[in-house]
Amino acid sequence: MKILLVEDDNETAEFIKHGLNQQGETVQHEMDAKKGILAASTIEFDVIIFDRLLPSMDGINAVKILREAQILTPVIILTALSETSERVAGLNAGADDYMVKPFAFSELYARLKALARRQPMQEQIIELAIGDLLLNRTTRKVSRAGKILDLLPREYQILEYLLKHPNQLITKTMLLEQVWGFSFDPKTSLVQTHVSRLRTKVDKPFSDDLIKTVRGSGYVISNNS
Amino acid sequence: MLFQTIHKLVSTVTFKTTIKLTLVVMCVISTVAVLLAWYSLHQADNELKHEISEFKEEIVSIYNDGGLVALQDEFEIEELEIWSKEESDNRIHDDEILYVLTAKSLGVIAGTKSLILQDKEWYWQDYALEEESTSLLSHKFNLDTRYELILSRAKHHEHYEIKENLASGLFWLVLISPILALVIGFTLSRTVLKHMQGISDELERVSKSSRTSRLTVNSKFVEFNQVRLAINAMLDEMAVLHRDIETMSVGIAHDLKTPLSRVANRLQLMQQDIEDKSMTELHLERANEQLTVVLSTFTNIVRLSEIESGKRKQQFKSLNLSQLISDMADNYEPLFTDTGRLLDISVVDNVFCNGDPDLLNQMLNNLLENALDYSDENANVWVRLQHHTSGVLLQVGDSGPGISDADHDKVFSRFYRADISRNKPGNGLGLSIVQAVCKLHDAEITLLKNQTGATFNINIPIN
Repeated sequence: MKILLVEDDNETAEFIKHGLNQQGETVQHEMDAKKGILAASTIEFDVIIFDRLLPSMDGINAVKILREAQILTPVIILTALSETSERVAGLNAGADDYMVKPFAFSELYARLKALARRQPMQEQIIELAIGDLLLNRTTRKVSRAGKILDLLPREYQILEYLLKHPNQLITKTMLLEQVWGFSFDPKTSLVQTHVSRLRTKVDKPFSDDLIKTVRGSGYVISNNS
Repeated sequence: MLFQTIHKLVSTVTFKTTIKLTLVVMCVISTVAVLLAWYSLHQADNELKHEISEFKEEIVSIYNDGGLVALQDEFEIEELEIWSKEESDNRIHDDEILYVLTAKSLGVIAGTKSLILQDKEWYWQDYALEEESTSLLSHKFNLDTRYELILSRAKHHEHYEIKENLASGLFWLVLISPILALVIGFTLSRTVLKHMQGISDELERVSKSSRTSRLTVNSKFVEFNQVRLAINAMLDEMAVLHRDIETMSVGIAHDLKTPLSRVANRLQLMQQDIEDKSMTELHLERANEQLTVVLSTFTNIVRLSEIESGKRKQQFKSLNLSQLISDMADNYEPLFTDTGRLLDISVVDNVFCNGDPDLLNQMLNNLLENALDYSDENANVWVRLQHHTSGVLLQVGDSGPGISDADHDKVFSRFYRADISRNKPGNGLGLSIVQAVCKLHDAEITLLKNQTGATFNINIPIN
């Protein structure tokens, strides 16, 4: 991936750059919003990370400027402001995701991957599949190896989200935000319990597991066992 | 120094009000006095007119019975004569009635000659006496076709007395009242200022002494006592707030101390096990978990203050509360089942209200989390929504073991933890957030007394 990082705090920038470099990703780092916008409009990136509070400009305004200039590269906003209204403002401005500092690097990386690989046409794909697992988004029918699986609505939503991002790490927080629509973190094992129920239906009766747990991070749906 | 004191006294509201009030009272008294005098004078004139009319009737009746001769007899006049000015003056002095008898053919034949004759039935005229002048009321009428009579009488003495009294009364009023106003104003102003100064001196003392120190309430005057009582009430309120902040700071410190000391322990262990990769990884993971707890405490503090600020009320929208509660309960149902508990969901359909779905979700989440963390294994837990007077009642409860009576009042306080050891997850802000969400939605939450478990009732108003 080719990533543009616009962040004025050196400590945070180093933390992100170090992690991304270790993953073999290319990072261009800018300290200032204007330079960031300039870079984004001249070079093609897979994803842009914008800090919310930059010295010369609010990250939200920077995103607005990019979108008005028809630069549609996925943007993730980083912020220290955790109020939900701030999050809504960020997404309304055209950002694709919003993360509150401090965060785990694995969380940021998972989200970057999800954003970078997102296909624009993805929303219109009717049939999602991995291996012998099929999910039809019109009939909401799910089958594996020809056998119909009876999923509860919540289980269906989780599986649909995983299938939209195959072979990618999906964190607990991503599921909470995307499937449950929660902006808070329930202390309970809400996500684990529902995923575990989903797995009993999707994987248990079959020889190989499609949904895998990445310890301490989240889940991946993939075909290679 | 003296000038400053006077300036201070003169600048008080008491002084200014006293002066204003005195001036107003002075004007009112003057107006009333003038009106009363005018009325009395008018009455006196009417009386004079009445006397002359009565006298006229008497004369006319005597004349009609016996002519001029009868009149002469009646008034013991020996012959008709015309009085000199002196004679007329004397009669006026004695407050007698003057008359002028005119014969149509001959002119004045008797009475005073010093009067001005006008061709009016009633009229006033000035009459000059030796040293002063007076007003006379004259009445002209015909005795018959030959004789005409004019009766005149001077204004009563009272008339002049009223006028004089009024003038001197007003003079003294105008002279004395401003002086009186100044004296009263200064005295009042000084008294009030003295008491206020007393209060402010005492406040200065209180602000410098201990937190329990209060103003004394021993003034002889009820209004100053009231001010002192009000200030004391405010100081009490401030003390409570102060205590709250203190409790909260101590709560935060306690809440952070436990996970942070665990992180410190793990770091030491890492140092010891630095050669053992798998152990180092384990310590790292545990340290990370503890830091997540610290961060989540801060997130919740920020969240709580965001809710309490009321900002989110602007984002309220109409929502299906029944649906929201059912979805949330359904979400948690597997968690209860997996831990051997039973979650009973009973929700009436189609209850709509205005609210913030995200916050209401968090409220239910926190209540259900508490039920999961603090109820017995095999406990029954229930979520109920039913219609209620003026709204709906949401009840979230469990069958035990509940919260001790002593702790009932504290459950909603920030950083209150039933689990004193702080071994269970959480930060003591869960129910504070629940209460704040309720308050934002004008809902009232109560923890029911005398229950085997913990049962929360939430009264939600429906628009």
